[in-house]
Amino acid sequence: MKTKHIQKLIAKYFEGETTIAEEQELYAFFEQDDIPEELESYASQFRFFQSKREEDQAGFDPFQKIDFDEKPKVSKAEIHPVKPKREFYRMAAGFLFLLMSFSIGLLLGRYEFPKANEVSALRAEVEQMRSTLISGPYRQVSASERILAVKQTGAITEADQQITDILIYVMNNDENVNVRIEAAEALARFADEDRVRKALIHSLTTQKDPTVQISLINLLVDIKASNSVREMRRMLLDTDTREEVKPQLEAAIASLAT
Amino acid sequence: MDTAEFKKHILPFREKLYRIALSLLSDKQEAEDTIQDTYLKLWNMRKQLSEYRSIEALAVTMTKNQCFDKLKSYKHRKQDNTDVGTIPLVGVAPLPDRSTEIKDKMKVFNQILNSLPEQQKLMVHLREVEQYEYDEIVEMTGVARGTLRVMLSRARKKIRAEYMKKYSHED
Repeated sequence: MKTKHIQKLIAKYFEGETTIAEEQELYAFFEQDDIPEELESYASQFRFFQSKREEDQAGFDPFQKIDFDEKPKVSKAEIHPVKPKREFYRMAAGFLFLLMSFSIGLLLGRYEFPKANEVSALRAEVEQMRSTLISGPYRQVSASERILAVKQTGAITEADQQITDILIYVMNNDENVNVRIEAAEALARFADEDRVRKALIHSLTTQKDPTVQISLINLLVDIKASNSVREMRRMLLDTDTREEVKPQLEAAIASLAT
Repeated sequence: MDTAEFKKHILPFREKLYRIALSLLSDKQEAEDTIQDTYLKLWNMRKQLSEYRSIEALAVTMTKNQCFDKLKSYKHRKQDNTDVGTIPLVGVAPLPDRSTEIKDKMKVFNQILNSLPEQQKLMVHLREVEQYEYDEIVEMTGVARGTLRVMLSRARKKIRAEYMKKYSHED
């Protein structure tokens, strides 16, 4: 039954008469592992386009050529020469306020642990994140949605083992370079945790993509992971290490070793 | 349109534009450069953007035009990109047990795709990879709907025929 239906769709497809929905049905069908023999020969063509859709993205800044600050020049009244500073103070004030309210809360002993329903809400959120990130690639959740899911962990300040586990898994296993980098960056925020630090250092030795390697090297410098120097030295000597990564390694070793 | 609004509207289709440029130019650096140019142009015309029905279609059109211009000048300079074009651009394969098979076939498909005329290759990419509706592709490329359907149908058949030539003994 199903095979007949798919065969019909394929015939329509080759005449250019399928709708997007029907084509998506075909793509989904050929993503499966067991394809009936008579349809087997069509599978690669669909899988090819599917894999193009999931192709690695070079992490680059599309806005590089745009000077967003040109605007103040147009309306001179709006120029804020000390803008970055001002923003810094604003952020500092915000941070101080947070810190103060938190310590006041602590002092008064009013800090309440999350109630049962909040806990279950949190658990549901973690579950959702897990399904988006870990089985995402297989369910055609796009890379950008996965990145978004990783970014959402930014709201969490306290390291939760479940969340860091998911992030570590994603950092090491996601097929998309940008998702892996995003996960590594999210993890760096929990670098106080010994486990997370170790995972980041370990990941450096397993990642193959130079962009991910470079991001990890920079993150390790940021979190001052001086115990990663040994791995970095080893990579520097490794002939498989790409040339563009080596200067980064040298710089990182120099800054971490001092 | 201010900076934040601009970014909000423009950023979502960055990956699509990049893939389109990469598919046409077969060169990551050139593709990045093209997208940066497209974004700069869009930024410079930000005041008029609200007049367009679909900024995404506009952006695709601009990207496509730039790529075609670049390809023309390549030919002019007789630059040979065939090597770059055949490098399989797939990252870590989604399903490990299939990864070698996919990589080999990817290479063949990439070669077939690169052998198609540019316009046809673009249409195949817009439909198969980016999954745009016919109306959207018509808007982006200026090709009539009927022609588009026929070209796509031909390209799909051609890709299959070329693939079967290489692999029929296996499948």
